Amino acid sequence: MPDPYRKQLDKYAEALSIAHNDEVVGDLKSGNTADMLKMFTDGNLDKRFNKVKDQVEFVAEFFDEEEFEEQVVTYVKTLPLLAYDTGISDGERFLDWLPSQLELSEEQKDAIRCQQARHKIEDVARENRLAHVSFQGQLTVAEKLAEDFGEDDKLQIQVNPICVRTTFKTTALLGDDAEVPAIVQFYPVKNDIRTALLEDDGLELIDVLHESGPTTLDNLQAAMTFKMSRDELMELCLELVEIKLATIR
Amino acid sequence: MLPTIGYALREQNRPILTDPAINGCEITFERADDPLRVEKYLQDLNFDHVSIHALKLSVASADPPGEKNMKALKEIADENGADSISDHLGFTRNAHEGVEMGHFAPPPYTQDALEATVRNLDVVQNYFGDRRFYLENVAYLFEFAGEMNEQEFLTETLKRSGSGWLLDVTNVYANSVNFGYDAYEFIKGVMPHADAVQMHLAGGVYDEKVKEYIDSHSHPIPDDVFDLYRFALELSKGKVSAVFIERDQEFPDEAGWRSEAKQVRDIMEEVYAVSA
Repeated sequence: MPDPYRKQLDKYAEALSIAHNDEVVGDLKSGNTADMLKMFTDGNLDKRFNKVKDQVEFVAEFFDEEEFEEQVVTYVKTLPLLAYDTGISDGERFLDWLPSQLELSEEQKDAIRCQQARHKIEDVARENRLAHVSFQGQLTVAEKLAEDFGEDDKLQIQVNPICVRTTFKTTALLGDDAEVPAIVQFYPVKNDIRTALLEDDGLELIDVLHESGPTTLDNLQAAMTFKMSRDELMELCLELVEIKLATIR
Repeated sequence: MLPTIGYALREQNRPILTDPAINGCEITFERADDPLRVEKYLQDLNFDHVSIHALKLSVASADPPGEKNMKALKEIADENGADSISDHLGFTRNAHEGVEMGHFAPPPYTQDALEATVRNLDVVQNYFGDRRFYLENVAYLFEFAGEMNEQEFLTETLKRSGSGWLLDVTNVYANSVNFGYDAYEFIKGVMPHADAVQMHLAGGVYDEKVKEYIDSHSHPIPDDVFDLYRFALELSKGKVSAVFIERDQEFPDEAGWRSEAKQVRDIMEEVYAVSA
């Protein structure tokens, strides 16, 4: 059975998180008014509205501005913010909820997929912050080491540990010449999130590197199912290094 | 030795943090908690005292803060060589699997709330170990019905938990204006029960429409708050580690940032010189 204090806070937090102030006003200290409570909840809802809007700003560009804002208002007034909201978690939840409210075009769905992938990058980095910092540090010497990659047997290639992949089904975010569906690789360079469109061999290379951890060119060649010469594989590796999706150590 | 003086770090004041009047810094955890950041939040700045200020430990909730949440805080503290950690005497969520209100509210000042708060503070202080934890008195817009007043609740919490007190002087001032109590008596009553103290200073605005002083961190520190600060310093000599100025809106120019820090330091030097 829940303890009385827990029950009391359940009532307060659940009501105030979505401004159902009538449920709480009777519990205020004598002399406190409904207007005082309203100042609290209005301020909180305004802040949450602005925060969610900022977090999904990119997606908003694919919608009618007024209609999109109405959806954000409905969202913050009906779905309480979850405990331990961090970073972009509320915006992410809004994007999960939005398709239940509107019939979305394929372009709008792509915009949502893109924003979700960017959010996911932050989630993965949060869980693996040390790996992210260490990899970004290693990038500073990658260009120099890359000159000897393939010749110096001790050098290893390492993939960016913070990688997220999604599939775009339209050309809206890719340009008219792109072939769709297209698998898009998201990854951070410092605190900037970049994207890469890779062929099947590049995608496999990333998967193999994630599986193996840092590895030499020879070991990598043995692990790949895509058959290519050592020189071709080296060239592919160096392309990933050049766009900072991989580094040499 | 004088307590350190500093600002709550914002990008707008970062360029003046090497001012000679400033030797401390407060990092707001939620601002520093950027998972993609590669450099430490302080970058190349160095201070005599660094504190990490959190907004969502929610120590008056029914459950103690989750370990994941505290771990993230500790990582920022480690990365920036922090000496202390602080958060507010309030609740932002009900419990672990519950909901957030978006901002902290004061708990109902009851025995049940006191028990939960003291238990949660034990968890928090054990987790952060040697880093001293400071509990901030909040500015509130309303109060729940309870069994004691804010001063009694805060005093009992400090006595039983052993937590330091982050005395937000402006919050005491705001509550005294809005709820009609004597700010000096409030501080005088609580201070003997705090064995370690930090202070916050900020400037808000009196909203004529709602007849409330709003702790908006948007204006220079008012004279009434400076007077209260002087009084609090006189009462707390020997146990204050740091004083931090908060500003979140309507940012001043460079001279404004520097002169406010200097004013805070001048008062401190006067108070400590008299005692010497």
